[in-house]
Amino acid sequence: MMIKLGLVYIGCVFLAGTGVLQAAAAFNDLYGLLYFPKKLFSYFFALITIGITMAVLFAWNWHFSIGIIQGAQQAGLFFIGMVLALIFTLLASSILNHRRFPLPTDKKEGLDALGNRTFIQAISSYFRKQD
Amino acid sequence: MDITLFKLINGISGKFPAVGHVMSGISNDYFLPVIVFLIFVAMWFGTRDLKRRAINQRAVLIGLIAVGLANALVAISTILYFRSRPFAVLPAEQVHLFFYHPTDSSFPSNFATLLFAAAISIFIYNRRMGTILFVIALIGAFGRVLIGVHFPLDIFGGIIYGAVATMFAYFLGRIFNPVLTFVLNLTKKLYLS
Repeated sequence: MMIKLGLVYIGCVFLAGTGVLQAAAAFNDLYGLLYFPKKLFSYFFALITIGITMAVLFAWNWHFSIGIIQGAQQAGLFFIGMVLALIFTLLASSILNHRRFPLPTDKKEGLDALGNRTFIQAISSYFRKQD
Repeated sequence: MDITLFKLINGISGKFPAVGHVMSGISNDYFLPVIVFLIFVAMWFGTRDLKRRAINQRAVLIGLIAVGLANALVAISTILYFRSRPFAVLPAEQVHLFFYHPTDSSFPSNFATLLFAAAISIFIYNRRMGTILFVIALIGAFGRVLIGVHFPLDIFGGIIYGAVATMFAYFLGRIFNPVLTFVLNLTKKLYLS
């Protein structure tokens, strides 16, 4: 039962996490992190994923009347779910936007660099610079 | 006075059971804590202004330390002192319980400690987001009394524990500022901050 609860919780965090990342990336003009070419779709995606997650969490005690996730366990599971959401977002957006951006020549750093390149493009250009 | 206040607040859900059912969804163990941590994620990735982003990311790091310390404080406190839940102390007809029967100590409210630690730590750096988190924490804490799992004093204890944990986290952040700066620089190198 505990494993099932943990998996559902991680699933919820993963789903909402991808949504929040899409909304944050759209708001912050980080086009390299978006799944969709239009920001409006990203906001819509965020609305759906966060909405589904919140509905599941709201009704949690009615669905799972037996077993709870303790506070410290919850923190650990949230971390796992969020890391998975981040990795998924970085990889999926890199694959989906692979052909969208020409190789950038500017020297932006940090998150801002993902405004006109994907995460994989940014990492590979970083290593090219090191050579 | 604690019991009188409990009866007053919990009585609302007795008069209006629908309110109790809604609040049992809002104030359960997962709904608001997940919202708070998602707000942390949004603050980390969703700030446009560079200067403001750096402040927000530092706030999130301090918030995470505060939440960790708050959990530790509650764990220590419950070993030293155990207070029974309202439904275990008061006659059944005086408690309107809209929740499962928690077996851990009622004091302090772990839920309130976590939410207020998050709210206070963010408020120090970002008044607007801090206020939003305060409102979330207040709704959640009020709901815990309304659904019958905490006395008001447990919530008040949670606020104090949350504030103490934040104070510790803030000073730890100042002492270990180079470590926080290192973490922020490392994530920046990885295009994540």
